[in-house]
Amino acid sequence: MIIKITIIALLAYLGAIGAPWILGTTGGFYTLGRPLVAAALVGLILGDMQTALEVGMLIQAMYIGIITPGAVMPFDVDYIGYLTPALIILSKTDPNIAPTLAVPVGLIGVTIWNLIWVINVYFAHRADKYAVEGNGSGIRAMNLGAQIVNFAMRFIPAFLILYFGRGFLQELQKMIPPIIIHYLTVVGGVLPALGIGMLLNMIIKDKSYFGIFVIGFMLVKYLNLPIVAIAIMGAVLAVFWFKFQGGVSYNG
Amino acid sequence: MAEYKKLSPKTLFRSWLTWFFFNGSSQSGERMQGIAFCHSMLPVIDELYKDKEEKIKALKRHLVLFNVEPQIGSVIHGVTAALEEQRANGAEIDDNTINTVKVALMGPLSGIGDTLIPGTLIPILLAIAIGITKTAGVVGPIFYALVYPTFIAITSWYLYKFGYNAGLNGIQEIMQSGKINVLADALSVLGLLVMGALSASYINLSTTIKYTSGEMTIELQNILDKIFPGMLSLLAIIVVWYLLSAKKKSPLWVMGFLFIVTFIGVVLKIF
Repeated sequence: MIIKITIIALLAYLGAIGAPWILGTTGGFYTLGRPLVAAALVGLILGDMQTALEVGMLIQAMYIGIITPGAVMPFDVDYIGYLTPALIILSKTDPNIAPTLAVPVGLIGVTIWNLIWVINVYFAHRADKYAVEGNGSGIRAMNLGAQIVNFAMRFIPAFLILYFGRGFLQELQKMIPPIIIHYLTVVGGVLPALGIGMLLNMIIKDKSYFGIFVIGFMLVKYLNLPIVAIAIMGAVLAVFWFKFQGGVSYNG
Repeated sequence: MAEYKKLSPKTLFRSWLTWFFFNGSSQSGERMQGIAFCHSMLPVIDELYKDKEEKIKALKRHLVLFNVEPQIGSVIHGVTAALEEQRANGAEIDDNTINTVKVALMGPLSGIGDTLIPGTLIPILLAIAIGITKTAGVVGPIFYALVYPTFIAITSWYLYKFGYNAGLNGIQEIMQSGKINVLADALSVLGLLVMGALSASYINLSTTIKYTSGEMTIELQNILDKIFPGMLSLLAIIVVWYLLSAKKKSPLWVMGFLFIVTFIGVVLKIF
């Protein structure tokens, strides 16, 4: 079990913001650090793919709109992606609790990130000194050296949370009255509205566009269409949208 | 006349690759991606400047604050490499010019980059991946993990080369033509449709209010479902969106609000 927890904590570092090793931010934070991908890896390691994917889809939907403009991060999706499904599987907790469990996990992740952001100033000042000496390799070493901090501050807390958290969650579960379980399920149902709301706040420039969102909502509620089908319809629509707004010039 | 110093394709690729991997490595509140920018310019600086003083100047020049959406921001590195090349060949480009160009491109590219990549492309691909996961399990995450990094890696390298070849004027031409905004607008249509669909499956708010009279029980939720299924869920989204956009509340504030409102709702047996 220690080995499995170690691997998950290591992946939580590799998918953290700033970890460069797996194709930089693209393959790291934006791929390994996405809850759906993270949950699949956790499922593979812990041997319970079904629960992992169930939790993964739920928390991915919840945090789908998380963006980090100017590196200001409201919730840390990487920690959420690895630690939530792992804790749920290890402590055999009801997957419906996942959205609520994700909240403290995500906030711990953000606190760590904010600390890293301050500590890294040290490397910038060391880099300045190397620049004066004309020492390019020194600057390279400073950019890479920051990863020692990132590793220590991501791997160790993740390991500790998994190691102590699973037993704690198991005990906690026995004490929680059914009404609180019901409450957490209700909260879990509305929390994804936050991620979606953040996304709407970002991409809607003209309020009338909200109508398109409502159509997507209705295509599922009334017609029960799968998302892949709706995405294809949307892609076709987007092509015409692009054309009719003058995105393509016609040459006779 | 001295021979024109031209950056080799290999140097340009190494510069891009360095940025692609290490763009976020030493981000800090003071310098943001500044060290990473300088790191990515090392191959360029090494090839162009043999004189120690010139090299020191170049290193200092690129260690200043830099921040951009890192994946499509690589276009700035291309432009900068081209400027450095011109400078090394005697063109009158001082530290200030290079820095002004970088700063001028940072803002617009961050704005459009955040909207296009984490704001639109990633959510669309993830929503599709969730849809695939529902029916085909682990194929969903595999789909995302293959498609997204491949597409972005190719795009990012293409943009670096584009920046190098087209220079500042070429980029400004495209940005001013408005085509990128049209593209973002068209993609937002796709994004909104897919997000609406995703919300329908993953946001669940229903009421437990019942009216019992003798044998007959009327459940409010049943009536609501007959009028517009998922009405309360959609309402929840609208409230959250309103709080974030019109009321400028922080995501954390809204999260606290949701916890409290649902708590009151559960206590009063509404939810």
